[in-house]
Amino acid sequence: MLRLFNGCSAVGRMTSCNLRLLATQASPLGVDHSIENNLKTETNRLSKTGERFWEKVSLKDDGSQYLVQLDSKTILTPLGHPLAVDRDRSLLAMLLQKEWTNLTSLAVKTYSLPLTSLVSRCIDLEIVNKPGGDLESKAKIGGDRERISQDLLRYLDTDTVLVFCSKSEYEGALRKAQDQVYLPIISAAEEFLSNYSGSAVKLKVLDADLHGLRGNQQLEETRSAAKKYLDTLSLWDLAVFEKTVLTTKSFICGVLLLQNKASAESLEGLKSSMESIAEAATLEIIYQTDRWGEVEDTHDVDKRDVRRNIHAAAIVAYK
Amino acid sequence: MIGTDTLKAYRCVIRAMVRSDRKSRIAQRMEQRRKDIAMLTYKRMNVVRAQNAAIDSMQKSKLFKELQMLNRQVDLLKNEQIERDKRLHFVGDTCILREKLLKGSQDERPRLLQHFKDIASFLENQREYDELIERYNGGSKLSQSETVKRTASRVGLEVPF
Repeated sequence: MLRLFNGCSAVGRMTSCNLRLLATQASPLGVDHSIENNLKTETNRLSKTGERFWEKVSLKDDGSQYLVQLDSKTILTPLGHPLAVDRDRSLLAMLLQKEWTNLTSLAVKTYSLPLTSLVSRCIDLEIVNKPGGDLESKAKIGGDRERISQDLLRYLDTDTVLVFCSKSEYEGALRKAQDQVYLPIISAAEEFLSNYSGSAVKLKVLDADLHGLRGNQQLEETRSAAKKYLDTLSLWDLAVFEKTVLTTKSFICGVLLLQNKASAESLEGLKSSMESIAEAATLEIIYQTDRWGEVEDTHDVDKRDVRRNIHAAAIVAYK
Repeated sequence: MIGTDTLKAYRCVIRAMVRSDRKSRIAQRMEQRRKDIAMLTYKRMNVVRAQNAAIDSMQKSKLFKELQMLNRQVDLLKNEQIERDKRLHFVGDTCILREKLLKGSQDERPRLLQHFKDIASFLENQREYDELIERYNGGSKLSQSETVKRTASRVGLEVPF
């Protein structure tokens, strides 16, 4: 069974706060636990048969939105909502159309439709979370906003950009790069999160030289500020945020991406290109492959995967 | 007024599109050609059948000409080099891209151009990813029946029709 479309639900139930430190007891995040359904939608049909069943893909402008259509029938998301994007996201609409046009009749794979997958989640989340939305479909896609937020907050504890390696590794080169790249991001993120809290937010980092091997946990104030930030996001942005966080394993990279793409002006320190977000998220791998060489079918594939996912999130977020 | 930056960003996206479309466009054209050839072969069969049945010599020569024309069409299709087709260097519909570039306000411009570059790198990365996956998992693009056939032949069996 190919599960093409529910690719990025962050799932993992946290019963109590003190469980958070026991990594073995927490269920893994980023695993697709959404429930398969048999609604008759184009997206489900494609994911089940893996075959192209249409001739022509077109965009229909209905005045406020672009509908993506196959043979003049609108594509439906896995939960049966029309695949439509706002008019000011015309570039996204064009790229969606392209994605479906470019599929060949041979077996369609899970990785062929990154944009459709993410946009479907955005649309489904938005609709099931409307007041009076269907509870069953909400459960099907793991669409509980509260739970998604709680799961995403876990990433702030062990955020990629908050973990520093020991100075003795790589003759100190990696640590130097981490200081150079991560420290400005951290201070900008602290400043940013302080807007959502009464007092100045201080992020707790994990320094291998000082703390050795132990878990990391943010202060309660930090968590509540971050939670407040998540609550201000639209569901569309939340889905993009989720995708970014799951790709980069970093809450802060999610903030960076949304600040640069979803809003016209961002805080000065948070300005960043998508490539530098990808680099920040994979800094350690860059140094590892530099020293030990690239392992085929692993590093090269991952490198492209991280970048295509970050860019896909950026395209969906852009406004 | 179109600046050089704008042109650069536009070109960047178009180039990425052409590159990322190329493979699937070739595959689709191949598929189309296969269908066309099958269609023409069927027509040819009908003509040959009519030829055998025909008594009138006028009619026979007319059918002969028709047959020759069909043969020529099939040959043409078979010899067509799809990979070299110039049309592969062009993107079909770019009006959304152009509209976006021409209409945006001046203050938004740098951000929009950056976004164009991001779109280009999305297309590039997606294409490279597809290529790598295919390289390391040979045969991942095969159809189900082809996979079954190959599995059977590995143990010395043949799949019945």
